[in-house]
Amino acid sequence: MNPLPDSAGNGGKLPEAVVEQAIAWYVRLSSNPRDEGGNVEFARWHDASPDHAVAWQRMLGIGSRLQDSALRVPSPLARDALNRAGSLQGKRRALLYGLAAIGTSTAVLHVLHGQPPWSGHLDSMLADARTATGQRSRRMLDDGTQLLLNTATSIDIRQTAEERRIILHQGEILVATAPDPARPLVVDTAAGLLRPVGTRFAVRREDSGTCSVAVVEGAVDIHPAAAGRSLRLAAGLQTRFTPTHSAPPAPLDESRLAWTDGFITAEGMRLADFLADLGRYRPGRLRCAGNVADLRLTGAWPLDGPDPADPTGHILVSLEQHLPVLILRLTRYWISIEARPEA
Amino acid sequence: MSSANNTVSPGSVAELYIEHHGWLQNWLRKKLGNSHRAADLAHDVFVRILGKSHDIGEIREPRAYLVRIGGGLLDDHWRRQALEQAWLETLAAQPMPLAPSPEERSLIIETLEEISRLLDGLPPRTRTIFLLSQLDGLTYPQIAAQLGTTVNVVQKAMSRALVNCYRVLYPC
Repeated sequence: MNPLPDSAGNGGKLPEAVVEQAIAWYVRLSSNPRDEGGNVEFARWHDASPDHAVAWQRMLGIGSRLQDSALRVPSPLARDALNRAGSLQGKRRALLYGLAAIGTSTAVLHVLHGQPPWSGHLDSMLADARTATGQRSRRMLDDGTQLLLNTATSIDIRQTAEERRIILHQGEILVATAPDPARPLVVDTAAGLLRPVGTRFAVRREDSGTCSVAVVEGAVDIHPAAAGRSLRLAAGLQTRFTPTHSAPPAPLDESRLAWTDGFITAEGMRLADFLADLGRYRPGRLRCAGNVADLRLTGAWPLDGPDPADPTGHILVSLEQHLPVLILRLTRYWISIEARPEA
Repeated sequence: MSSANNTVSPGSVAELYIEHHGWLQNWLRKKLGNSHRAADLAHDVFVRILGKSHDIGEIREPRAYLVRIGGGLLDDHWRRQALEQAWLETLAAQPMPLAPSPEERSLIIETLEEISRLLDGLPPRTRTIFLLSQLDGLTYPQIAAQLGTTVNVVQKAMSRALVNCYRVLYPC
């Protein structure tokens, strides 16, 4: 898809701030075309610099591209087809991740207490990449670095001549870095910075603000935001850290990376802990009664089940089949797991 | 997600081809589950590289480079496949039977591909808001009313979608 030629040269680069201003103007003027004060102010901005004029021309170009499309495909049909294609592509990607060889066995045992937090934060609306609850997606940076975003994740990507910075606002990512000695890669979390050393690693930001890191290949230097010294985490290790403190490294628990293959797994896990994990992939509330919280379970389930409206619904069904529990669906978004009465 | 440490000697697409073509085709075959299609796409990857062979000497990670280009072509392939199927479903769901000619159909798919590429990676609701504004020409208050949300949410979605479109059209 070629950009329209303009006076900045075909595809010429404009300062990011100018592009942001042009977008803000486009949105403001579209919101209220009769905003006369705005129009005067806009004219002043537009004429203040040739870059401003080019940025504005590009905004209009984006608009006219879309409006031309509407002439070729009736709009409601186009929207319908694009929506359908979006969900087809989503499934396609899920299938791609699902090829890994984790057996789908299920075994079972027992239940929980735990209150998984409500999911669905509305912040980071403007993040560069985000996934909704239950979604996963893949992103490749232009340097070849690959990112997998887990459920309910939002990140910003800032690339400059000096560094490649990934800001993790929420959720969990797996990073497979492409080496670029001139531009180190940094992952910025609320709790501190991570500087990978040629590597593949996962980082997750928890609601408490604590971050956890697991290194698959290479090593990662952890710089807690308010601590003087850093810690190097080698391959095969994982740890958690806050702005002031990092926990001693522990051996990597492979199951916590199962999501990168489209699975959720448990091995001798308490039901309460399992539901806390599963809750990250489901909108709404998922809780269990205290007398089943300590049931233990083992198994591996695909995160994308047969029902697109409730992709993890099959996992609840499986729990009910294998554990002495009942799933009470108050609504789809409020699910309670209770002990099954003795027959 | 594999990365290879072997490097190609500068300036030679031929060497890149000899060293890595088989590997690339195999990688694509695993993704596609179809060896004919994989052979076509592997071919396209090298055509793409020949088109920009001026910087070939700078490739330090040939396999990562091939995967990057191949990944882009795979995305295009799946996008097109998804859109073709989606378009059939859309037509089938219409109350009145519609049967565009093959020429119309290919123009339509091409148009949908272009829009889809601009909106790649956006959440469904943001896409819907953007399309209601740009394709249907609804005002922000109309969109907000139709979707039961606020103008503020519509504005944020529009900003986000425009940033996305801009980055697709002017990547730097």
